[in-house]
Amino acid sequence: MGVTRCHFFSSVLQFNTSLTMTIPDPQKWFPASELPGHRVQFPVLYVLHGGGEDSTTWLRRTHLEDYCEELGIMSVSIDAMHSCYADMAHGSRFFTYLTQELPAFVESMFPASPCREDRFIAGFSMGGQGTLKAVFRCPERYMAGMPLSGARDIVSLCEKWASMENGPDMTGPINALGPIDQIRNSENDLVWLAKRSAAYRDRLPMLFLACAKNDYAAPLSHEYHDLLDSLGIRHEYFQDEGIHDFYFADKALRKALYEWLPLRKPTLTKE
Amino acid sequence: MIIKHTFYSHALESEETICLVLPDHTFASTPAYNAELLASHKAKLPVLYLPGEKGRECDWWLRHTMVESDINRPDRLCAAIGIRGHADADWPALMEELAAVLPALFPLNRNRQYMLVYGEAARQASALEQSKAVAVLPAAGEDARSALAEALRRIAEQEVPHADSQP
Repeated sequence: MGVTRCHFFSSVLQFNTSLTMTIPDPQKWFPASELPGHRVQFPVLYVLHGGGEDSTTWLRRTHLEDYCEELGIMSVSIDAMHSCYADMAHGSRFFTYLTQELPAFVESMFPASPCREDRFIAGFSMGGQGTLKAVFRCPERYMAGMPLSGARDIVSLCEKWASMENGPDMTGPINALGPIDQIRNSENDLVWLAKRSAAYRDRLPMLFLACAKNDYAAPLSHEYHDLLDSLGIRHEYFQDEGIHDFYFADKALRKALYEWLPLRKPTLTKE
Repeated sequence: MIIKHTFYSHALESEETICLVLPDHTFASTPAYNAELLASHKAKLPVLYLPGEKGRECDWWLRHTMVESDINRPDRLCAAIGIRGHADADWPALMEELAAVLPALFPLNRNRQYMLVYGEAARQASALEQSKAVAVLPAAGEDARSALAEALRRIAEQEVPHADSQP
């Protein structure tokens, strides 16, 4: 069992930031006597938090650590604020950080496998947006993506929120994505990305979409599932009782990890 | 960079948290330690374990010395690992375990692992003298900061033995 917090300088973000990771006990997989002269490499699950959360949220509010320990995978969570995991219109380049700098850093400094077959990404709510953006824009990097809970048509969601009299504060999404009327058909439009990606659907990472039946965004999530079907993009769609919370996200993650994800075992590589 | 790592110690049969302080290759890039070498797992840092005195946490050295600045100097690159205070009897097994496991997880040189014994922790030196994995460096200097600086100098200038230079 291992929880690791790392504070380091990101060249892409241009500030110090934090990672929260879980690292399985290497001695559960390999005898201590075999470790000297070798590097341990675990498959890696990047787990993205939702809006207003931080890199510790998944660890605090789900059984992530237990699942990863049992299955022998590392988890890595970043601090992404309200960035929508975008290269922000007004802010920092979180998408570039997530998909380029972060994997290189994690695979250099920690016992993380560098193979695509061992690199997975999942996220709750806004983290689901980041997950889809990552797998559609960088399909060569990830084996599978698991967006859990929340809306996938971010444009419709933002339009709905903006039209509400007492709707959510739009400062975060606008800082991240720019004016709402400019998101459509951009690199941050998950509908547009899906349509574009259909051209190379056979090379896309595996997809596991999940949304609770009483999630506020269940209709939009279901529409996205239908869209992927119509585009011929293979995916698993998981629905169950629940709302937009971590009880459901935990259940969905467990199902994906234990029943769906093609996990490989940790390896020992000679130095 | 700072890494607080909590893990299950099979030697102590309990969870343990250590504080790893590593050079940031963005700033402290050298021919022996840079992004390319780290990516190919060819960069291996010498290791200086910093045991805590009784009642002290693993980040005591981080808070009371200039260790992060010191190990980021290009001529002093080293991984410093703070350990909380333990009973004397626990140290040998814990150090053997850390010396075997940590280089398999992080970019550390398993043949160049040292332990600075300072203050009350000097008692641990006798228990560890038989260790083949970790060489003991008795503290030189009047306070923790100068003892640490001197230990880093000796490691950088290779004034201390290491396993791959021993007969």
